[in-house]
Amino acid sequence: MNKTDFKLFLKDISLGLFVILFILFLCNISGVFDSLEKSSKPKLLWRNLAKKNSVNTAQIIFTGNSQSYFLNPTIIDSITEKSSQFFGFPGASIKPLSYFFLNSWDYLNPELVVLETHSFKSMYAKTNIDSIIYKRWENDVPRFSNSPLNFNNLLPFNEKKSNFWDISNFNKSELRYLTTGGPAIVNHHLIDSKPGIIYQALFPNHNNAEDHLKGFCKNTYLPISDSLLNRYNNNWISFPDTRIETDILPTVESIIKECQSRGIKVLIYESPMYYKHFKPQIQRRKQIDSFCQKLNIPFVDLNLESSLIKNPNYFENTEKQNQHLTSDGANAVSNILANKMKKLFFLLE
Amino acid sequence: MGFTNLYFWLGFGFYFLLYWTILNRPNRLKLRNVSLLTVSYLFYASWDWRFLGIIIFSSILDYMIGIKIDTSSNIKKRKWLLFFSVFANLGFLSIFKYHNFFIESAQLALNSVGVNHDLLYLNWVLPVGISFYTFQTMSYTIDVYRKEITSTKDPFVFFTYIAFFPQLLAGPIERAKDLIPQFKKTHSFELKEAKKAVLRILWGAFKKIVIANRLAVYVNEGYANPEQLSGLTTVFVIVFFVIQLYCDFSGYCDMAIGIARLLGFKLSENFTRPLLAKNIKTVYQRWHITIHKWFRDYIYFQLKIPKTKSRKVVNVLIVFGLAGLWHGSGWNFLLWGIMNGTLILILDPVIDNAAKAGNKALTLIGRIVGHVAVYLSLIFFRSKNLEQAKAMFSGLSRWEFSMENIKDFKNQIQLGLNTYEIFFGLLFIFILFSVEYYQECYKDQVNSFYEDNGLKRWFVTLALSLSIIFFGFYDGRTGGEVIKKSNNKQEQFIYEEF
Repeated sequence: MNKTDFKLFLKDISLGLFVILFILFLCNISGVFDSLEKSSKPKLLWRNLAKKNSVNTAQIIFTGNSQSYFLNPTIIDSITEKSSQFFGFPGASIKPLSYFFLNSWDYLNPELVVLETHSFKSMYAKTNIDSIIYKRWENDVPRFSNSPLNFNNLLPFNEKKSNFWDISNFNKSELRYLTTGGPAIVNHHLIDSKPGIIYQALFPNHNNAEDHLKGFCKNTYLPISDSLLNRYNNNWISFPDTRIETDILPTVESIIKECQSRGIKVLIYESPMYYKHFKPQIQRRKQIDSFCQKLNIPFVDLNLESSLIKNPNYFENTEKQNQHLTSDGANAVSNILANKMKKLFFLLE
Repeated sequence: MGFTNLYFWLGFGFYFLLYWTILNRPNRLKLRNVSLLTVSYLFYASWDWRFLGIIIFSSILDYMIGIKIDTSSNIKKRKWLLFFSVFANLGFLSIFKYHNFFIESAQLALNSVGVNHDLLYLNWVLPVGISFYTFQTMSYTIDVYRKEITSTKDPFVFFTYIAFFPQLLAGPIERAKDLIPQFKKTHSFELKEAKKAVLRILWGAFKKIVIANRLAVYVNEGYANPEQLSGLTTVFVIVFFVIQLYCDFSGYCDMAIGIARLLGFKLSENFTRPLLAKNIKTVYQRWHITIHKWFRDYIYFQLKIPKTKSRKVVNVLIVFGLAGLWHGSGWNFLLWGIMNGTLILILDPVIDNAAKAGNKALTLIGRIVGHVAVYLSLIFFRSKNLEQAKAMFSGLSRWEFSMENIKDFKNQIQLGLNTYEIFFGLLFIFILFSVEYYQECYKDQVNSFYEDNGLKRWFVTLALSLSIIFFGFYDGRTGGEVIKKSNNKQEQFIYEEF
């Protein structure tokens, strides 16, 4: 065997593997592998948002998930004559949203915080690593880091109780995540499904194309089709009246109290669903009403707006429990909600 | 565990280091071969350890028969031994691969004469790679019988020849005279060859994971609901299957050849850009070369010498019919084989004569028709049965030209894959054909690619590696119709089932 050749080959292979792993590592911490939807990682969001002027100067902060991020900021801003900004991500629950507030008060100066009720749900981890991270957050609430490369995420030396084996197990999970069961593998198709995600994740501050949306998203959902309408009229079993889990409300309460202590007004609203899709949400409404009364904040239930809930063009053509607004629906809701906000908070100004 | 499994590569990396630092020494040749055999059996057992019994039994049988044939001078005895070996090997293959085909055919025959007795169907799993190693071991015995080679006395060498892990599952089907001598010597590590091997493995993985797995989603979805496809999507499904099949199998072969090369072994080429072939005969001279050579040497040349045109037709149809049945047990495979034989007999003379006469237009038309005919014949190859094939063919007649259809084009062509995934699929297919065209037309430059400074190679290696990671389709995307009931659906290579 030619030993020199063999050594050169091993050197080349090692260097190649190192380069690949390093690129993967960079992509991973930049959030490239995170999710099908853009900017779904709270950590990444905090980093991005804190640097945006529109966030620092926003007068209304909306927060929630896909039930609210399709609203139209142009309509809202023109009616309220205020500047709005959305914070949230697909499937967001109130817990990570509360971490956002916790980490971002130093950067925010809103007059009003608007919370949407469909985010009042348990924290749901999409991947194993999210679950690990969320568990860690349960015990050690995350603090905002402005560093783009937060090595603490890979090597949690800052955890007081961690020993060598904890660290090694954690890193094993992270490495497994990178190599076998991780995002590069599980979410393999994300990059070519959504090529823009690379750009957004790697260069978040240079993506000005959607800046005018102020964190809100464009909506491409198709409206309820004739066949679904037929089903609604014939053999549709409406989804039940669902109360909010009681252990979620303390988190909402803490956000509200923090806002109140800072002199920031709070509004809670419920995004509408097609009236036949769900049974009337009587128990849910009573629960939220009493919660809001206790904290002395207004609650706007848009399911009571018959002009909205009876228009099939306003709702996504889906048989799933989670029905979204269409573009027209989002515009109509933005209009009604903005008018209510103006009446409740800004008319006297 | 296959070539696209990370654990395979971790294991192989470890063995590679062990192989070159400790095992591959002149005084440790036996140990090296034993280690190769052990690794090969472990690799095979990772699919299903029960299959090991079959390959070991087959190896013992042909090892002993080979020696007996070699040492015997009695022609009758030699013939009987050969017959016994072929009978036993084909018997195994028939039991595992063709039992239900024979039973189904018998059932049809019985029903057609009015006998309604249900025959017993066997629900046995087909051992992976059985067709490949059975044909490899048969070629050894036949070559010994023909006195083209002498029998191998060292059992470890022979057993490793049958079970050599890079080519165990899906070829290339190696002749004993080419591979066995390589087990009898140590190899020297050559940097240039090793670099070529790495690039070849990556290129194979790119073809399999990025292109074939991606197209598999589309094709599976299409074949699951052929009656719902429009004319355009049917064309996409048919063409994508051809490219999927090519990338899947040639990707496997590239990886197999590369892996063997990293251990110092040289395997036969199995594909030489068949989709750029100039006539149908050349397609099959370039596609799965080792099996077609096998059929040529052991079947076609054994048939009666064709003195008349009709005899030649019969010989060609027999060989292609058998090659079709080798691929799978079903009338559709037989039909696929015969169809290709017929195409060679009818279309190739037209293409060749037009080329000789210098009629460029006719040559081009002939080549296009030839390729289209081969692609259409592969509908039989991919279909589960003749009904599914018929449904695919009828899809080709569903063309509706309207403004609405044109506007809805984007939605229509999406089948299991979204627009971006299709776009990137087409981009990668373009890259594939560009590379193949370059290899075909600029062979000298391809050689210099390995001799120039390493920058180009580094770039290509990195681009391939990152494409495999970022754009590869791994498990979890199986489309409408699962190829095989396996936990590693995308990991499975199509030809491993043969």
